[in-house]
Amino acid sequence: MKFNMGIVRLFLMLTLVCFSTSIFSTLKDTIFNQAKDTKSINSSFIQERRISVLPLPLVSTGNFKFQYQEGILWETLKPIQSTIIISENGIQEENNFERTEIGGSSQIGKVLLGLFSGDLASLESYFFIVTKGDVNKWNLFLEPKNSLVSSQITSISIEGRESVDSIYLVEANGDSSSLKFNHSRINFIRKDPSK
Amino acid sequence: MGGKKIIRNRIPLLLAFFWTLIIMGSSLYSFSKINSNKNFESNILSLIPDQVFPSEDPLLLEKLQNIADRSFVVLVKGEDEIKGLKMAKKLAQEFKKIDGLSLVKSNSEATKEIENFYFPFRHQLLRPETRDLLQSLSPQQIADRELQFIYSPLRRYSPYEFKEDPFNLGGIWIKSFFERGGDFLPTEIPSIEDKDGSWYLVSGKLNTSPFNTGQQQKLLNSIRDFRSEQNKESLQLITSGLIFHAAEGTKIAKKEISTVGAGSLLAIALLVLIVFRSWSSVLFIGTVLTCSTLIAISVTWLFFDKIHLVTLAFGSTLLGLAADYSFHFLAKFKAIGDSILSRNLLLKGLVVSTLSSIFAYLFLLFSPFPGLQQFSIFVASGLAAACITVLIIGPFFNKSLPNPVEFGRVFNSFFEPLYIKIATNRGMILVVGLIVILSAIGNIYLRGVDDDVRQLNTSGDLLLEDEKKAQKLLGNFNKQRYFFIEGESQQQVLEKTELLQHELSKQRPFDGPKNKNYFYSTTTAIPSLYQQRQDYELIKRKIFSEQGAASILCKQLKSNCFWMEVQSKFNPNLLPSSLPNTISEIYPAVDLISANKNVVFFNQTNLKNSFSPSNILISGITYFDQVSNLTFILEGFRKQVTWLLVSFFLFMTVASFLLFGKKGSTIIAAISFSSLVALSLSAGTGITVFHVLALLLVIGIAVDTAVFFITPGLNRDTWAASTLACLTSAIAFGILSLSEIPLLHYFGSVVLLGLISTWLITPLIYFLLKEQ
Repeated sequence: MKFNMGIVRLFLMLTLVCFSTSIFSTLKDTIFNQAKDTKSINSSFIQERRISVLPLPLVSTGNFKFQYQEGILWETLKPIQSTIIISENGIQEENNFERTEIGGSSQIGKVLLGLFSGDLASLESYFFIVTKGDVNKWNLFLEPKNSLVSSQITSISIEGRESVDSIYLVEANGDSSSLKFNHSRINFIRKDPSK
Repeated sequence: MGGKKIIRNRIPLLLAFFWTLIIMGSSLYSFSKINSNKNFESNILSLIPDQVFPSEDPLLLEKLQNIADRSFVVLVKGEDEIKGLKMAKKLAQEFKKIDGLSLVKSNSEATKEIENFYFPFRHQLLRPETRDLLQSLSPQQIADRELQFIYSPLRRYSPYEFKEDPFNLGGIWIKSFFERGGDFLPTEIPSIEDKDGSWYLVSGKLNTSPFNTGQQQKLLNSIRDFRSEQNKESLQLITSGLIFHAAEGTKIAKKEISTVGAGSLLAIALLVLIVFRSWSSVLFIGTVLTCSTLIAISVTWLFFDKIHLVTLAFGSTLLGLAADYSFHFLAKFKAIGDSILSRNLLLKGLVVSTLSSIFAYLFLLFSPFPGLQQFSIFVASGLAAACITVLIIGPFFNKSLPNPVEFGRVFNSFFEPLYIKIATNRGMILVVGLIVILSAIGNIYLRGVDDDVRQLNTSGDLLLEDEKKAQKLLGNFNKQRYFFIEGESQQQVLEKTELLQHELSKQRPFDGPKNKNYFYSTTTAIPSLYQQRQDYELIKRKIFSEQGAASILCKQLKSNCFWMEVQSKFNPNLLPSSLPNTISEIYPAVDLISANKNVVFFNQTNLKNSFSPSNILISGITYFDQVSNLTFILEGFRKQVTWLLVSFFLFMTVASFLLFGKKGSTIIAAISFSSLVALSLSAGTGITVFHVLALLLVIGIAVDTAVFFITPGLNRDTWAASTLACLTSAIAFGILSLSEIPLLHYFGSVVLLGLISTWLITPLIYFLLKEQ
């Protein structure tokens, strides 16, 4: 009896692809399930915004708070003061000049809320998501699914462990931003005792 | 002598032969027309007189139709955002398969074109709210405000690079293109959020009229198939656009035609079988109704290009009326057994009755409504055909033994003694009659009049609810109220439009934030050159001057800003003629500017009560309010038609006395009493123009009944025939009174109540006057 080696190779490759996909989807699910279990996060952040024409990055710092079912409070302290509240109901921005309702039109706002609240479905409606690493140190690479988002954002790279540690955003005009979180406290809703 | 007799004997045959030829000719003519959908009209607006539409400008009318009539929107919501988006994409794919409609370009396609177009003009264009900010803030404040945006983790919509447009003036200008009142999210398919979730917007434009029934069918079928494919529980659809209302109007009109037509036919067939108990009678009535309908349709097509579906719905009552003549003939024939003698006995009554009804209907020709004019031709010709058919075909019945209809016995045994008994008690009748008449007059007076434009509405509650929801979500502009601007040049028109918007903003016609855009105006796409230059100077002074916000921002960013593109020279090339098609698609009124005209709509529907557009006195600007215009015109029509009714009443009074002498008072008393009772009982929320028009028919019917009681005279046969006639007409108009279309409902109710009161009261009046 003779084996058709081509078919065998194809079978092995398909098995490998299915197996690896299964592993990746498990990691993605784990990351987002973990985010769903997060009750609150308190941290500080450093944002470095690089605008192509400016020689130096624009650095800003402040506090970041996430509360389960409530949303994100983003407080920039230096060099300017502003407060942003991102929730399911939309986005509110308050600075020295005005208080504006952004009405959810900011993609970044949606990404941040989706990431911290574990709303994978919301992110997948706008981005292709590639997962790398393992539960202890993972990386998500987001690429826009439609031309409207890609006209603003080229890609978003996210690194994390228990929660999101950093976000690197590349804009379509060549500008980029890096956000680093220094978590002081993360509370979970329920923790698996076996872990 | 013998030759003359032969000729006299053959006259009925010859007449029958000629009549058959006419009927065959009209059959061929009608069928050739019926086979083409083009010969039917479903546009409810064509029932309204042309002068109702105040815009005398054909170009404006065309553009208004393009803006308002041919666009449609379907809002899709799924169980969640992703499913909703998937469903909306699928629906958009389905719509793309339909010929004769095009989907509005997606945001991404349109945005790119718009961004490229406005790039050279980005430093000379300001939205009113940005202009206000630049005017009120100092350069330092403007720079500080910009810094807030730069450091924010959120990104604004900024189509141009930082070096090209550091204050994102171009971004702010372009963004409002996609925010016509609503807060659209820049998703693949535009979406809008309310408290329950995201609605995806699939919008399109029809290449043909929304009243094209074929196009309506294609769109509705596509939506129906889409609904059945999707999970019905989670899918929510909201439709908005004239095509959906037109389709509903068509559907209702078709339903009315089939319900009234089938109901009348069934009732007539059953009554004939029960009362006359012979298939030849059914065949006779069938022939009369067929001839009547064929002639009615053919004559209407001879006078009008298209028959309106509402005419057919109204016209289906013809069946009930046309059957009346057959009943009178059959009842008389059964009573005496001689068809020629029956025809001769009935001739005067039949002709007078038919002529009075034809006059009643032809009086509608004086009404200003094209729909009613068509209806009058339809029914008048149908009635004439019914009378001719009865007179020509009736005598062909073979002689038989007299066998009066059993049904007539009720008259002899019950009604006649009852009427005679009541008629002897004149004092009581006078008192009761006076009470009824005074109560009726009092009730009519109390109910007052109703000239609400919604009488003309054909859309169901569900569809209207959908429309309201869509308007709320989309924040669309109100197409019924607008300012029409005319000038001597394109630039003058634009300047006048800006002046108007400025004046309107000062008056604040709506409750809401000051900086919200309340107007749908072409100046959102193309400001006047004067305004562009003013804005250019303002931007130069506050941002790009030496002490301007740009240099302050550079210092704050610790940059020498060698990279920053300075404000270029003023570019005078942003003109109406230079706008690309993408922008004309969003603002179709832009094309009006080439004819030195423009139009400004309100973005919302609820104007403040205190707002008075008449306060705005700018030459060349006229305010149109279609709703109040329509109401005003309906009021005028109601008054006009009331005078028509009074003239018709006087005409019938004179004609009755001339034809029947003293006996004519039976006719006058019958029509007066029936009209008052019918009007009073059907007044509802007020007397409309359609109530008054329907009274013309009540008068016609009352004359019909009274005439047969005068000649040949009230006896069991004429009473039986009148009762049958009343019953069939009552069924037809009774069904019509259940119509969802207000005007059909009013018409049906008035005629139904008029019929009943005529049937009840005319014999009593006959006996009262006979006793005298």
